[in-house]
Amino acid sequence: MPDPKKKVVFFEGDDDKAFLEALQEAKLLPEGWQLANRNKQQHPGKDGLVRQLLPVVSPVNGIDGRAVVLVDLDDLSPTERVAWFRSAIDEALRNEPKYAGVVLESSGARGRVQGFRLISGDRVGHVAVVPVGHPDDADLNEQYGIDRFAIDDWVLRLALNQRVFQNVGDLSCIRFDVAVKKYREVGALFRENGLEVRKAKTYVQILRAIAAIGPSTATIVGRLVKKGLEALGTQEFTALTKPFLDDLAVADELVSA
Amino acid sequence: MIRIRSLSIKNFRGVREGRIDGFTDVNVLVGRNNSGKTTVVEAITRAAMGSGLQNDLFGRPVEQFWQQARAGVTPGDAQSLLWYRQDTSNDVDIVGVVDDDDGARKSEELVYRMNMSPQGAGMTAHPRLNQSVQGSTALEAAKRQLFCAGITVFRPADAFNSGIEENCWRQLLSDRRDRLLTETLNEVFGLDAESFQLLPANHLMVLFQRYGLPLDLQGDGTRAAMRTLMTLAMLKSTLLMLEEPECHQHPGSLERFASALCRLAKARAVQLIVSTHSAECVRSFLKAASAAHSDAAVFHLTLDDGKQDARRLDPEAVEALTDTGVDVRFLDLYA
Repeated sequence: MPDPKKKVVFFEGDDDKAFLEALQEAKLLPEGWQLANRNKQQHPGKDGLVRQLLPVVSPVNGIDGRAVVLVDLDDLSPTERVAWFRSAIDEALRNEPKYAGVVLESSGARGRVQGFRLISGDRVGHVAVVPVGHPDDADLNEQYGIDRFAIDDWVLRLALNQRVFQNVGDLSCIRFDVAVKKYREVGALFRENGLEVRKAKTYVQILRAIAAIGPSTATIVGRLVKKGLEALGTQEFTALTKPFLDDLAVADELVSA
Repeated sequence: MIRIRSLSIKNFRGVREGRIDGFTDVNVLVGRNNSGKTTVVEAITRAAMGSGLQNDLFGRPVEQFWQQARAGVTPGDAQSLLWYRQDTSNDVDIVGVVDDDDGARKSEELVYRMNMSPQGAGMTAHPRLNQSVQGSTALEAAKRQLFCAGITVFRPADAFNSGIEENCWRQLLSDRRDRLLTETLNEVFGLDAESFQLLPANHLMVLFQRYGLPLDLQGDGTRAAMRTLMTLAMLKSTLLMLEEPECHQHPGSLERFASALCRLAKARAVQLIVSTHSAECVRSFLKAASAAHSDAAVFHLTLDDGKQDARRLDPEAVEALTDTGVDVRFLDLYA
């Protein structure tokens, strides 16, 4: 029986939100997940994310609820990202007198996903951190030189699938093989001019530029996921994004325990 | 300023056991129906009975007030309905803690204990001060007594209670607090009233430049606001508990009304406890408290098998949760 309590899902940017919204629409997110509205003015960056998270999971001056936090790996390993998260929560709890007495402890880990409990008396909040990015994708690493990892790794993986690409109306002005060629050429040109191309997001932006797409990157991300699902069908889509979807399922289990 | 800080309840009404800590200047109670919000309000008035509260501001004895408020639920003679699940074998036990941050911040307990005689012949209530604080100074005792004696509950039905002006008007005129009421009412509702006048047979007239109208011919929102403000203007160094102050108010007026209430409460050193089902009301009171430089907190109440649980949130936490998309009235969906 699914846990009847809602879980609030935090993430960093608009691309993550668009990706998750499309997954939720396709019922590929665990039941009861509520995507947080990220207030990036008031709570910017990764540290802001932690500050916005605490009222949801803290048992003191909070609601001892359940949350899943998706944090980009960037250039860290999953272990390092989890350690960063733990220390960011620990520090926020220590620095805010209103959270005095809240104890942070591990509630278990599976794969890259780590669960934590925030405890005060008989109240317990739960949070699981999911390091986001696909460092194990050798093709992205070697062909595209990506070594800063984020949700866009999965977006680029979709954009590099010919059936998905051809199913996105915004991209109809450019042939798939030409687009792939241009990714590499423009990426190489950037590098020759001393510009960094280490993130999949840069390639998504290159794609926007070469296809003269008006809408924001986040809009394109959402469309790639929706159209990807249409083109591949749920089974093939979930197989393609399995490591990510598996991590989300593990996170759900860890905060439901 | 003297304030109630915490409350614990045992075996009273729908609450087998409950505790709320951290009451501050402006307190907003939220929670589903039957989460015990009104029980908290009633429990506070009963806890205060041992230390001076007998009749409320309008002369209504506390017992009678609650019998009327619960009309249709508690017939006057069914005292056992005061007990959790009518199980009179356990004592009802209510303890409120008050403190005064002007002095040595000494906490004092207000205790209300009630038991039924073994033969079921009747109920005995024992409102009293806890023994441990009997040694308080005369000044502390006087302040506590003033605080308890003034505790007032304003329910939505009081919007139409003309007995309020009957009881208050003479006193309000004595130091022209009526002027403050006129200014405030004009500000909240954008009126241009010049003053009020109480005519015989208790008709409070609102006087404009060219005409006058009975208050009861004004809209319900105006009547509710005027009578709430009148009540608050009568109080000093005590506690006012408002049930659903959003009733009859347009959201725009509600914000100005909350602002006026918080300002006046601060000026009169009156602690506020507000119970509401309205998100706009929560937001308005937190904003108003901040503007009045008062501390505020939201308490989300749940009641599960008689166990009342209260989650306390400061305004920053409420804002962060609201920004996140979590409605503080529905926290039971999350925890």
